This record gives sequence, structure tokens and C-alpha cells, in this order.
Amino acid sequence: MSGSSRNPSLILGAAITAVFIGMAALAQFWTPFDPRALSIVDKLQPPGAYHWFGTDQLGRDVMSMIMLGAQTSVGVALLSVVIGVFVGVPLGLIAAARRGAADELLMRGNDLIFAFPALLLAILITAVFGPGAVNAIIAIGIFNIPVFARVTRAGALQQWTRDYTLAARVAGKDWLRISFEHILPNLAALLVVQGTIQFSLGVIAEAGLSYVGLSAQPPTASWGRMLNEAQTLTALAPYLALFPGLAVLLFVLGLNLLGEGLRRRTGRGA
Amino acid sequence: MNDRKLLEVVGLNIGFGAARVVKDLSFELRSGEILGLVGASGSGKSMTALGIMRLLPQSAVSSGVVRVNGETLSGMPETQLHSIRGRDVGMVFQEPMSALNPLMRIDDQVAETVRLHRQVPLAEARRAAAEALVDLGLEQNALERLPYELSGGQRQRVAIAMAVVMSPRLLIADEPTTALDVITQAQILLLLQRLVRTRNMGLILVTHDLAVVARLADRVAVMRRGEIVEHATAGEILRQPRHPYTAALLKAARLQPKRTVPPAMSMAASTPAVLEAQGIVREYPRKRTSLWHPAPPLRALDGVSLAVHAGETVGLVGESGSGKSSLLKVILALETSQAGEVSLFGESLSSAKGATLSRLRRGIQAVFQDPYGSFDPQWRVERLIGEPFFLLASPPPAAERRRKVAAVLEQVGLSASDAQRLPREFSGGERQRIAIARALITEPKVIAFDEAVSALDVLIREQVLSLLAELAQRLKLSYLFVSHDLQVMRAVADRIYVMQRGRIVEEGPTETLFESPRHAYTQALIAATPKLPVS
Repeated sequence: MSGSSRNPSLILGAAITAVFIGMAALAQFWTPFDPRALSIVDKLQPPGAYHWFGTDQLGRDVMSMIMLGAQTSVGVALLSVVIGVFVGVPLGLIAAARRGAADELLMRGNDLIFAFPALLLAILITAVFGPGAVNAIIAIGIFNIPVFARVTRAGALQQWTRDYTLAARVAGKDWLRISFEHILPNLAALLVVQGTIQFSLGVIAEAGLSYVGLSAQPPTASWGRMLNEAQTLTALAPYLALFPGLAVLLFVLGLNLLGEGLRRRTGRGA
Repeated sequence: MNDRKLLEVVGLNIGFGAARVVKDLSFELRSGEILGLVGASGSGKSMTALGIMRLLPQSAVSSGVVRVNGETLSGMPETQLHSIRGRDVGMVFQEPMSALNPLMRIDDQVAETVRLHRQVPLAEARRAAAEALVDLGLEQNALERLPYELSGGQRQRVAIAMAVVMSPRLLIADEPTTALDVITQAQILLLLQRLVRTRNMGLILVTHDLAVVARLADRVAVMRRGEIVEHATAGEILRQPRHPYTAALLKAARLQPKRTVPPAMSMAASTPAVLEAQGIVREYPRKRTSLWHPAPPLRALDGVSLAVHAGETVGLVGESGSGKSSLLKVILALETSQAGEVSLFGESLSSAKGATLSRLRRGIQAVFQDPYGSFDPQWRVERLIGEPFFLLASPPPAAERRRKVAAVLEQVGLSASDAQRLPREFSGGERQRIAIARALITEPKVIAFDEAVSALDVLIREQVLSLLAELAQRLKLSYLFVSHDLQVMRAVADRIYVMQRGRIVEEGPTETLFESPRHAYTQALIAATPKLPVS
């Protein structure tokens, strides 16, 4: 049963996600215009045949900036998911395998991080290390850790109740080996679904952080900062806010559809 | 027994997509009659029960006529069916916990059923509920409890009370005693029988267990692949089955007691013990209920000793919660005990570590109960069977591994080509063979079986048991066989230990134990075990 024919959200979500990631990759080599070239003559051109998405108050091509902004968005969100997975998943595996005091300690530590608003954490990090994409990645990544730790622990606890873990112990394997050889591969589907959801949350978080100036700094393009800059010009050039806003909306929608589609396909997940 | 037809099923068909699970089924039932619907898993017996009640899953397509008390249920609108279910037809399922609301007092749950069908004040409904519950053997002071505060047997009594409180004419019970231990099973079966006789109800008893049917049913319908292959009075079916399938089922269900040659007995006693457990105490911490005093620990094993001699099959019986599984875990060095020692070939297993532990573990392997849960679903058979190679100091090279896996696969009656398949591609019986192959791969001297045939249908169980007997003889293996099923025990064990509440209460050679049990608990277990009449 392929299931994809009856799973439109998987196809649509994968397509939208692929478009945005493709766009980010393409921007590395080619954009319609140089997004950094200022041209006061061309400023505030409405969308048209020449500049598809128009130009901003400094005459930069909006479409090129959106494409480069996708890079920032994908980069920050992806790396923060990587941090969450690489720290959170082992913590969850340990908590599930060891139970008892280790479990309590790890999970209460997670609660502590979880209770901290991500934005506050970002402001804190920025205050100490200064604003920038790397610090945004760390802030969002730290926020991802407890999410992955919890999902992993819940899934692993369920796997540990199954007899095959007993069989592996009779074969002399210790909890660490069983966690990596048996438990983790069986949680892969669950983690891919959660990763997609965290990816989409990361895109929103990055847009939010750069909107308040805590993420990527100029000249790096970013959707959140484009929105911020468009704010004062809404009456004059509403399209300046429309395109980055749509980009965030569509990308997040695509990722959520993809996550939902994957969840339905594997029959598991959050 | 009056002659009115209580239930008429004519040409019932149930299918899921292209698969037809029930094919053109017809039967009838009169008041005061018990019909046993028997078959292996997947024979369509449960679907038939659900089909009568029109409770099939949405994806199912059904046709045919079902008449209860002259009223045609097929084609009846759902709202009307609601009033029939519970009032005219009651239903009892296998797992009582899932049939009950966990947050509602049991008398209120029964009262709710009353109020669904009759406009009466709550107080009166509660009175009716209390009456029904007490009639079904619940204590007066248990009526206000929540489901989790009750034992499995008590819960099943509540579920039956809900089904019969409106005095339905027809009761459908789907594996009502499968989740219960033997002593409780005997009580529930007796209760069902009394209800049918005193209230002149009709009962359809769906079960895989021929012995249960033999105890209760007036008539028996044997199902296979959605069809009734034989339908006759219980006496006829059990004594002179006409259909070969029925005969095969009966033969498999009627396990032959193991023929133990007397010399083997004395030999077993004189040979040194390969596995010995002495004075094992295992305690589990309990949740603190007071701020000042830690709760006393739960003593799951209270000074248990047992021995398995070379070439001997030792049985360990007891109901769930008696400590069998805890003992097995201590013996397999999966859990540490608070006191006592386990030794294998005279060497201490309890205190072994590292390389010594690995070496000792090679000598004792295990087969677990659940044929579906005991394999990592993503591993192929070759890797699964080869997992215990981890115990070897230097794992054999790939070609050698492959050859060894192929050899054990053939030993357990599978083929070498099965090595590349995934566990989900096998049936329950085949999976249990794979589990046995995994236990054999390190060439152990002792194998422990934890309810290893409990989840299997009788025909498959017979095959697996004869495979085990053959392997024991050929490879000179000793078995420690843990089960709640006395019939199985009698067929496999040379010697039996009976366990109750963490202690061994009786020990002895199988036949002696069955013929003259000394301890009251053993006597109760043997008396409660449903038996098939000897042909």
C-alpha cells in the first residue's frame, strides 16, 4: 500500500517544501538581480514584468531578497533542528533506558528549559553574545532539545516494554547498545515527523527573531527583517509586506502539511 | 427448553474489500440454549458475533438476515438498534477493562445501562444495578469502587452485569474468560451457565478453547476460514467429530500427557543440576503513601529455590502475579535479586560480570511469550537469529554466521531462504520457531520458555510442542518451562513446581502432582482447568 494517492497533504506538503528548499539552493548561484545592488532610481517599483515582486525603498529586487531570505530561513531552522536532535534524542534515550533518578533529573531539566519562552532565551543570548544568525540557531536549538527529548523518551518507553528488548538483553547487550541498535531505528519515523514540525516552528521563530532584529543582520537577507522594513511603507507599497509574509506563510503551511502527511503515512507521531 | 427460535441467522456474509471473512453463515439458537462458536484466530468467529449485533467496523460490508425474537436486525436503522442492544441482546467482551469507564463507579455504570432503556429515577436504577451486581457475586462493599480497584474476574462480573441487567433474551460472549486465570475462568463459566439456566436466556459463546466449550455448550459450531465446517451437539462433536478439521482440532487440544520413562526420572535426580536457584528474594519498591515512612517493598519472590537437571524439562506453574516472570528474569540475570543465588553448571550467574557473564549466558537462552513483540520489526531474520553471537568473544565471520543461521532455521523446520525475510512476513507459529532458532544459535544447554505457546492456536501449539520435544532429545537440552496452562505443563514437563504469591508451594514429578496434589492451591488449579472428555 503506497498510500500516497490517498494522502494529498503528503504530496502537496512535499511539493511546497521542495520549492522553497530549491529556491534557497538556487539563490546560492543565481538570483534575478543582485539583491545587494542599491538603485535609488528604481526604488519602490510595484510588481511588474521586469521586477516580478517589485523593488523596495532602496531599489533592491524583492524577489531576489525573498530567495536569499529562504536560505537564512532554511539554514537557521535546519541547524536548530539538528541541535535539538543531537542533544534531545540521546537525553530521551537515556531517560527511557535508565528510568529512576536519571530520568527525573533529565526530564525536570527539560521542563526547566521548556518553561523558558524561546524569545526570552533569544534576547538573553543576544544580550550576551550580540545578535546574529548563529545565536538565533542556538536559541531555537535549545528550545528544540526538550521537545525531542520528550518525544524520544515516550517512544522509547513504549519500545522497552516489548519482548525484543528482553531478547537482546539475553544476548548480552547493555542498555546503551540496545538503545542505538533497536530503539532508535524504531523511532526514526516518529522523529522525522517531529523534525518536520520543529522545522516549521523554526521558520516562524527565525522570522519572529529577525523581525525584532535578533537574528541575521544586514546585509544578510531575511524575511522577518523585510517585514519589519516594509512596516513603515505599508500605505505606500503594501506588496513589500505581502511577499515576505506570503513566503513565511506558504513555507510553514507546506512543512506542516508534509509533517501531517508523513504522520498519516507512518501511522505514528505527535 | 421451549421451541421458539430466539436467534436466526440466515446467509450472513461479511467482507473487507475483496476478502470475505464470513461466508454464507446460517444457524439458529433457542432460549435456554448455549451455542459454542469455536475456531482458530482469523476463522471469523468474532466477526460473526459483531455481525449479529451490527457492530462491525465501518469498512466491513455485510449481507444476510439476522432475526432476534422475530425482529429483523439487518437493515434496521441505528437508533432502533440502540434500543435492541442491551435490552434484547447483551454482549460481553474479552478484555473487561476496556469495556468499562475507568472514571465511573461500577454501580453507576450498570445503572446507566438501566436508564438508557427505562425511564426510572437514578435511585431506582442504582438499586437495580446493585441487585444485578450482587447476584453476579460482587460484594456489597465493592459496588462503589472504580474499575481499576477490582480484579480481572470482578471486572468481568461487572461487564456481565451490564450485559444482563436488562434481562436480555440473548447474550453474546466473545472470549469472556481468555484474559482470566484458570480459577477465575471456572467461576465465570459457572456464572454464565447459571444465568442461562435460571433466566432461560440464549448464549453464544465465542472461543478458541474447545475445553471451555465442552464444559458449557449444548451445541457447537466449528468455524474455519469464515465457514461452519461442522455443527452438532456438544456430545457428538467431542466424541465423534465428523469433519477432519474438527478431529484435528480435538486431537491437538487433547494434549497427551508426557510419557516419562521411570529411569529418566532417577537419572535426572542423580545427574548434577545444570541450573540451580537458591533462596531467591526479589523485592520491588512501592510508591510512598506516607511522608514519614517509606512503603514496605512488594516481595515478588520470597525465598524461591528450584533446580533443573541435565536433560530434564521442568515446569513452573502459577497464575499471573505469582512471581513466575520475576523468577525467570532473575534466572536469566536480567534482574538482580535482593538475596539468593542462581548458578549455571555450578558457576554463580548472579555474581558473574563481563566475559564470564557472556560465557555463562551462552549456556542459557530464552523464548518469550509474544510472537509479535519478541522481534525488532526492522531486522531481518538472519540478523535476529544471529543476535546472540554477540555473546561470543570473537563473533564468527559473515559466511560462517550465515551457515549457522541456515542450519538452525532448518533445525526448527523453516528453510534457509527465510533468513532474508522480515518478521512480519511470518505467522505466529513460524515466529515462535524463529524465536526457538534464536535461542539455539549459541548451542545452549538450558532454554527457558516464558508462556511460549500461550498465544498460539491449538494446531500450531501441537506442532511447536512436538518440535521442542524433538529438539530436547536430539540436542540433549534442559528446559525450564513457565506457563499458567496446566494442560500444556502436563504434556511437556517431567517435574513441576507450583508457585503462589512468590513462593513455591508444591514440587513433584508431573504425574504424581496431577494424580495426588497435596497443596490446596494445586488442587484448586487442577480442579479449575477445563478438560476435554477422553475420546
